[in-house]
Parts: sequence; structure tokens; C-alpha cells
Amino acid sequence: MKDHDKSIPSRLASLYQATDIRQEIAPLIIGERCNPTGSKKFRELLLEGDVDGCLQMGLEQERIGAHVVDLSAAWAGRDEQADMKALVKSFGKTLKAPLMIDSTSPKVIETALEAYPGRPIINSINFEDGGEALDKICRLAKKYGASVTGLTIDEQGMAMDADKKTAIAHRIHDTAVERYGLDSGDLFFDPLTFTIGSGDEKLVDAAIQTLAAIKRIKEELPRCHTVLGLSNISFGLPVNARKVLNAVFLHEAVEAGLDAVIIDPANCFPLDRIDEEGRELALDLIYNRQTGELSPLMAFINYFEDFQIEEDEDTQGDVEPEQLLQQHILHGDQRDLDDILVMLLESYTPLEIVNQLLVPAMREVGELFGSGEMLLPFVLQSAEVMRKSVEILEPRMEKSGHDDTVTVLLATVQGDVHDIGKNLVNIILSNNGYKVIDIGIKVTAETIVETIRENPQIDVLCLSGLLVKSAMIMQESMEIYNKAGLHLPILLGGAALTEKFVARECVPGYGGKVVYCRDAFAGLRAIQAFEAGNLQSSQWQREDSVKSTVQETRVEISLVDDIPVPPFSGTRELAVSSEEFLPLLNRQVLFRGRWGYKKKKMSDDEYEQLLRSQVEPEYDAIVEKIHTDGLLTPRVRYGWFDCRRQDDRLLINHEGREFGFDFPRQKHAPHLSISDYFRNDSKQDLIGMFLITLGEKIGETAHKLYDENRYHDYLLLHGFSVEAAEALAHHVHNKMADDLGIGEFGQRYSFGYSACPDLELQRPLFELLEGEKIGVSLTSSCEMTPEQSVSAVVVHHPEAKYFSV
Amino acid sequence: MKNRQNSIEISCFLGNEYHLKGQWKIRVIARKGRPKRLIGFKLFKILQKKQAKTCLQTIMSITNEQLLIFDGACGTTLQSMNLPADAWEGIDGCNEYLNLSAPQSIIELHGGFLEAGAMVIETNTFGASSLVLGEYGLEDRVEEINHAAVRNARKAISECSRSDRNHYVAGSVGPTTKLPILGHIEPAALAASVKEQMRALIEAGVDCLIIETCQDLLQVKTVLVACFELLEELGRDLPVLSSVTFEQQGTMLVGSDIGAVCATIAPFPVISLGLNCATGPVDMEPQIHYLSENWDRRISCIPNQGMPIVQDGETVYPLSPSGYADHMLDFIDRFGISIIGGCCGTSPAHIRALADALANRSREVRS
Repeated sequence: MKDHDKSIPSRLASLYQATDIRQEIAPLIIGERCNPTGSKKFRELLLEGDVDGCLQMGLEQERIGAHVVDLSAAWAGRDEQADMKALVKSFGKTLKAPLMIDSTSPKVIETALEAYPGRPIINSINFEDGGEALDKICRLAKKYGASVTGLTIDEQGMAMDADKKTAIAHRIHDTAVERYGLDSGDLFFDPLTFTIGSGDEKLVDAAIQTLAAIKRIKEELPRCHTVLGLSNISFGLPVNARKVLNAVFLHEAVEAGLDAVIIDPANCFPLDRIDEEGRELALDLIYNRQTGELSPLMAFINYFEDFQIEEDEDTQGDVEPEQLLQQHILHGDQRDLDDILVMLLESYTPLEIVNQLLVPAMREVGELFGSGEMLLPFVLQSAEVMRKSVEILEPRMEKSGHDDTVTVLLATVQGDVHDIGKNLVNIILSNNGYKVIDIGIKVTAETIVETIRENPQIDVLCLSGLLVKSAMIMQESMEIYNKAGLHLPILLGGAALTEKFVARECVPGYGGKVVYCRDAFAGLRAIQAFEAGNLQSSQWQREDSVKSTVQETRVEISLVDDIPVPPFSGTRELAVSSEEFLPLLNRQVLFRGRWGYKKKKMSDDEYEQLLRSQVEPEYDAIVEKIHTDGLLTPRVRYGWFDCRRQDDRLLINHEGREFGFDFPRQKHAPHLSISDYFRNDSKQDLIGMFLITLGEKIGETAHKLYDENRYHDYLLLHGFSVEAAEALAHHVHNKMADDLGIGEFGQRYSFGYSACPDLELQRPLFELLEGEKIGVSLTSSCEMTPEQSVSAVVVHHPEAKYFSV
Repeated sequence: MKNRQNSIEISCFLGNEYHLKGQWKIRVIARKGRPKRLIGFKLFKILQKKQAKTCLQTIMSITNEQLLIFDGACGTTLQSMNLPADAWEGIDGCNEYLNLSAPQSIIELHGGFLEAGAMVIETNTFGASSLVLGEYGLEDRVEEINHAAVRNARKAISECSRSDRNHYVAGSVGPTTKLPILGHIEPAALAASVKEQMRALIEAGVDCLIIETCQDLLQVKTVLVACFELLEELGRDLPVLSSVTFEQQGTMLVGSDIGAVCATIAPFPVISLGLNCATGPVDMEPQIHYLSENWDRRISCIPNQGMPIVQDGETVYPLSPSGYADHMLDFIDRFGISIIGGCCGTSPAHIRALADALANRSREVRS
């Protein structure tokens, strides 16, 4: 018999679905834009009587990630009751997110409750009038089964300190529960925030009081929920400073126990985009800590006076396209996506872009979300950039699918609406040539069984789910699949799963194979193993074999046994001419990135026209000038060295001296380091290195143009020289790969770039390659002169790929 | 098993002892006007001994019966009874009118299920609100028809030969023919109409109300609001059961999933939530499974006998009596459902198979 003692979490509901008040990854986001007081656009639509337009704004709130949509119709001179009725009818029948009915009038609230099909939140009640309205609204909440928000206001006004806020919360709670029969789980408390951005001496500890009140309400009324209207905290500050303060304060409030927030996500920056100092200054302001001569408010304002978040700048010319794409995913930035991808397509296949760049970036987004650094709306924006990117790449992909390929059934499990992970798996698998039947979100085990029965060609079942409860559902469903007589392998993926959980809790419940996949790639590998006939169920050894936490989340890099044999050991100079490497120059990066000729909204024809009439002639003119003036004097030194790995340190013994490279490791998953691609345990391995330069003349010529204020010519020549150096590096890498007979494999990592940003680390390379022999030297800050020089290590491991620490 | 509804009103005689089907033994120690808790019961009024017996057998038991077996289909069973066309007295298609025009047939209908082993029979009032009766010009006869329906049900119980179980009357409240979410009717008008019907059923002495075949979340919510408002007005504490209808694709007609239903109905003091009509037990499984984990009160399951098929020009429901009974027993074991019965296509033979299977099993458990 079922367990009647289990406690069911408090939920809200729309016509279509239920929403947990306590989100597994807090907070519950309540979109605030459908309010004539807060949004000019909404007000105008309301005044025009454009209910459909208002509904579109509600849908937009939902689309950008609001779990609940706040709806207010209060505007002086309008019939609030009639407006509310029309809006609730329209919103109630369309939105998947439950409503928050925002009104002070019991009459309006009843109209809304009567017309609303699901379970909304009423916003709000308080004791300002001694309880007259509260009496009516509590009765309505009871009658219609609604949840209700209490503001900490009483006959004396808004509570300013934590004691008073908590006391009023208790008073509202006791009245609502004892007199009106509401359940504690029906109640939200908003302890109110006041601005700490006005300089008002009485308000300097407003944030401290609010945070303390949240903590106390959660402790003393544990079944009740807390909610805040966020943006009040930063009232009076400039826009960007507000966005920073809002974001940092929200993070603190969630830490203090905040369950829900009323917010416009556009008024917040994602935390990962606020620098350390800005964040510290915001915290100083929130906790009223004076660290220097300036008051925390002044220090904060000064810092943000000319604060710009990267999106406002257009300095993309100097960033590698790999990094640019990663940033675009992280920042949910869709601008110039076309240009970035076209640049990347010069050096990557579309599938490599998906596998090596897009998916790792999305993984990082997922981790930021999981750690509370990124709000759901921003995650959705990132997923949208991912989707758009794949859309752009898809026509260029050669699908290797054939008729007898593996067919995979893919679903997000019952009760879970999070489909970002599932969609990633779909992208990866279908672009790797597998057939994917994606049956969407909230899929019950019963539906899955039925689908498999109806589609006997399905070979593998892939289940995804973000939530902890999804892990439980996967575990429970094993029995259902078993009972239904299924034998096909089941792959499980999701944030709350671990290898241990799958091995211990899921594998035993099912007769077929059950495999944990930590990400979409692991899913791809599992399908490949299935094809090869060697797929194994997840296993978990004894507890004491648990590795350190970092290693646990590291990607396992299988090490190669066959170390290639280089044609020589030590250093050599390679003779090159510009005819050999200039054809390798990445014109897309040069034109769109360095020279800034972006396609933007031009049609294909218009852009083609621009290239032909202006850009290509400029390019030809530069090549001409290079030849006639002899601007390039390219020189190359390269070498092969035996090496050993000690943990993260790579050691090279050369001519009786030991050289060490301490490659950095990613601080986030998958915690990669260049050293991972080398064999450990004192086994010998091989590393290649090279150093190239274009000589001094091209840099000098460019600087002369700059000094003559010929900025456009400078930009053209400088951009060209950077890409020409890249082309030479590319050429040398190809040559070295040929030397080893490993074709396209391997990866080069240049110092000063994302996988190894620390220039200091190139000192040993310089000594080994004797850079001075080709006229390259290091400055005291380890930068190379001449400017157009590139140093790199060459890794032969076939899985070595681009990443950023 | 814990039950939220274990605190209920009963009426009994001071100082007397009552034995109730071996489950409860009560000694009345409280006086009028001084309610006291005694093994979970509030004692309020002191009535005549005779009345007290009735009360104890009915009001108390329906919420404390571990398992309630409901009856089967009304519509499809009536069809199979081949009533003469004049039974409807010209009001063709209005089965509720048969309560007046052919009471004996309705008593016979109920009797078939009672003899088969049903414990609860639903009144023949599925469409007995003014909204539906109005389609036959009968909108003024709501009270009359509902009263007659309860009378017929009581008559059937009094004529029933089985004494191995308690029998109850559930007032059936259907969804009407209008969906408020689609704007067919204003919630207030729906509430007024259904309230009138529920008032008539309560006055006539039903043991509980079942709000069933709900296809629109706004409709079920509106009816629940009206129902509990009415009970408060009347000062009554009658058990209310709620039952929604899910289409084969796994949502209600307008797209609500079971989570939305559960969260919306949870605040109302219904004694149960479950599914009836539209599909057979197989298609109900995901929702029943969900309820077993997300609903803290009783769960009801009143399915059709599968999805109808046309055979020799007739609509047939494919599930056999034993097949149906197996499904129900399986759901009892796996999901803890405790209110079971059948909707379209459920004949007395189906209910007999279910009741017998349960009786066999409890004998096995005892021996």
C-alpha cells in the first residue's frame, strides 16, 4: 500500500502543468513585466485594450524563463476588475506558467480567482489597514484554493528591521492559518527591500535587514516560502550598476533562503560576467562594509561610472574565434554568429565545432546554473545560441547516416521539463549519423514502453532529466521497463545522476544494460560501443576506490600506447617561403574578424558584392605590397623532444638539462590540462614545439602607418600580419604532423591563448628552440619580439582538442 | 494507514456502545453541546437510537471502508437492458428522466450491480443539472429528478439480498455539456446550476457526492468551490469525491496534465481524487502512478472497459470481466488505489468479477 505519510511539496498550477514552489535550483522566477505600473509597454497595450498584445508579453515572460507570471491590471482611470477579468481569461487559457494575481482589491482578486483554472498566487496581503482587506483576501484564498503572499507591513507602515519584518510575518501567518484555515505551505512572505543606492543614511543597512529577515522567516516558519521584489534594492543607481547590484543581492538572498523572486531578468547581469572587484564592491555595499576612504556606495558608484559589460564593446577583432564562440554561448549572445562560425569553418568541420566548441561551452553553462551563478533565463539564452549555431552548421554537415544505423529513443523523464541536455544529445547523436526519435519532455515510463513497442527498430533508449526527482524516477522506471519485457540498453544522463547511483540503484533493477553518461559525448561513446558490441553496464567499485573530487569530474583521456617516432630528436630550422603558407591564411577570420567586414544583416549577394568590390582588392593590394617591399622574412625553428609527465608537470631532458612545463588546469569541468594528453607513470612520451616569426619589417611598417594616422591602412596591414603568422604556424603544424605520419591529428597549443594563457610558460620552449637564432626574443613580461611571432607545443594525442582554462 | 478524514461527525446515544463491522467500537461519553474527541471522532448531537444506527452505518463507514467498490456503467447497461422506447415518454436520450418515467428500470439497473457486489451505487443524475436538463426542456424539474434518483437508489439497496457488505449512495454530478475554459459558459452560471443539483442530492440524503468525468480544470475547480460553499451553508460535512477524465494522449481534453489537476484540487477537502471514463485502465496507468506519489488522500480508478471498437455494427468495449479485475487488483497492489469501479462498458459481470476476486484474495490472506 502507498505511503500516506509522505509530504507532497507545495505547488502552483496553470491550466496545463504544476510548478514546484521550491525549485530544485532556486529561485522560483516570477516575471514582473505584465504590470502597467512597472512596464510602459504593458501599460500602453492595456490602455489600448489590446488583450492579445498583453498576452504576448506574458508569453515572452514565459519564453525567457519565468516560472510564474505576475499580472496586474491596476491603472488609475481604468476599470481594474473588467481589465483583470479579460486578462485572466486570456492568460489563463494560454500560459503554461501559473499566474501571480497582483492586486490590492479583494473584488478584483475574486474576479481573477473565479476565472483562473489553476492554482495561482495572490499578491498580496498585509496589516496596513488593520486586517480588513486581509480578512477578505484570506477567505478568497481558502475558497479558491490559492496561495497568497504576505507583505511585512502593519498599521505602523513598512517594517524596516529584521525583528519587525519577522514579527509581522508571524502575525500574518498565525491569522491566516488559525482564523482562515490556510495551510502554512500556502503562504509566501515578502520581507520588502528598500534601496541602498540612494545614500539615505537610514537605509544603509536595508539589505542586511532584509537578508536577516529572510533567514529568520525560513527558520521560524519553515513550511512558508519567501519572495522578494528584487529591483527596489538598487533604485536610484545608473542602469548598469543596478544590474550588478540586483544580481549580487539576489545571489545573497538565495543563499539566505529566498525561494522566489519577482524580477525582470533583463535587469540583472549573469553573475559570471561581473568581475571579482565589481562583485566585492557590490557585497561591500550590501553588507555596508567600508574598506577604503569612500563609503561603500561611493566606491560602488565610482567603479561602475564607466563600467561596461563586454557586450557593449566591439573588440572582437583581437579574440580567437574559438573563444568568441564560447563567449557567445556563455553570454547568450547571438550577434555575428554567422561570421564567427564561418571563420571557424576554415579550420574545423561543422561536427568538430559542435563537439569541441559548442558542447563544452554548454556544459560550462550547465555548471554555472547548477552552482547558482546563472539564472535560468540566461541558460535559456545560451541554449538558444547553441540551437542557432547548429541551425547554421547543419546544412554543411555531411550526415553519415545510412539505413541500418542505430536508432535511439530520446526523452526527458516524467515530471521534468528541462530539455537542454536532451536536445544536446539529440544534436550530437543525429549529427554523428544516428537516427534519433525524440519524444519530448515529461514522458512517462508507460509512454516510453508503448513507443518502443510501436517502433521495433529502436535499439537504444536514452533518458535525460535535470532534477533530483528525475533520478528517482529513472530508478523506479527500471522495474517498469523490466516488467514490460524490454531488453534494449538504457543510457541515463542528467545533472543529479552519478555513476555510483546508476550502478547501484538503476543497474540491478533492469535485465538489460544500464549505462551512466555524464554528458552528451559519453552518450555518443556509449552508442559507438553499442555498435561495436562492447557496451557495458555502469559499475561501481568499493567506496575506498573513490578518486579525488577533481579527478572524479575529469574527462577520462585514454592514453595511447603507440608513441609516434619523430624523424629526429632535438631542434632544427625549417626554410619557408611566403608562397607555401599564405594560401593557408584564414581569409574569413581576416575579413570578418580582424578587418571587421561582418555580414550582419546583408544578404548573401550583398555581402559577396562587398567582398568582391572592396575587401578582396584590399587583400590583393597588401599581398602585392608585401612582395614588392619584401615585408615578410619568415623563419621557423622546431623540434621533437622526449618527455615524461609528473602529475600536471611535463618534464623534458635535453642535452643534460631538465626543462619543466607546468600547464594550467581548467578550474571548471571537465578540468582539462594539456598535460592530460601525455602518459603518466614515468613512461616516455613525445612532444613537439615550434617557434615562427614573420620578421621585424612588417611590424615596423604597420607602426609607421599608425604614426602617420593612416588608421585604416594600419588596421588592414596589422590584421593581415596576425593572420599571416597564424597561417605560418598552421603550415609548420601540418609539416610536423606529416613528419609523424599522423595526418590531421594532434593539436597545437600556443602560449598566450586560452588553453595556456600564461606567457611565462614559454621560457623553457625558448631555451629549447634557441629562439635568438631566428631573431626572436622575449621581453621582461615574456612577450615575443618581433610582434608577429608564434610559439606552440604540438600534442600528438588524437583526442587533443581546443579548450580554455 | 492514516486518513485525514478520521475526524467526522456522528450522531449517537449517550452511554451506548456500538460495534461497527468489527472495525470500530465506540462508547459515547460526551454530552450535547460539549464536543469531545474519542478515538478520533467528534460527538455532536444526541438523537434517537434508531437514527443513530443509520448514521453510524453510513456516514462513518464510507470514509473508513478500506476499499470501496463502485458500480458500473449506467448508459451502456441501460442500452443492454433494451427498454421499450416509450419508457422515455418522448424525452428521448435523457436517461435522467427515467428516474421519473421508469423508476423500476433504474432500480433494476442499480440492483444488478448491488447483487454483483458493488458497495456504492451512483445515482442516475450524471446530467441532472438545469444546464443539461434544459436541453430537454426539463430545467424546472432538477429537484424532482434528483430526489427521485436518490429514492430509486435507496430502494434498490433496501431490496438487495446481500448482507456481506455495507451499501451507500453516491450523488453523481457530471460535467454538464459546457466547458467554461472555452468560454461556453461563465463560471458563475455553471456554479449556480450545479449547486442547485447538489443541493437537491444532499437534501435527498446521499452518503457522498462524486464530481466526475471532469474534462476542464476550470469546470472541476468551479464545481468544487460551489460544492464546499454549499456544504458550509448547509452546515454539513459530507464526503466529496473528485474524478477527472484523461484522454488517451495523457491530458485532459483541454491539455491539463495530472500535475496541474493534483496541485489545483489539493487545497480542497475532497476525500479522493482519481480518474474515470475516456480510456481503459492501461491508459490510466501513468496518471494513477503519479497520484500514488503526489496525492496524499484516497485514489479512485473508474475506467472504461478499454477503448471501444465497432463489432458487427455495434460499439463494444473489449475488456473481459476477469481482465478488468486483474487490472484493478494490480493497481491496488502497486498504487494503493482504494476506490474502484467501472465506467462505460462495465456490466454487472465485470463488477462481480472484481468483487469476487477481492473476496477470494482476502480469504487467501486470512488463511
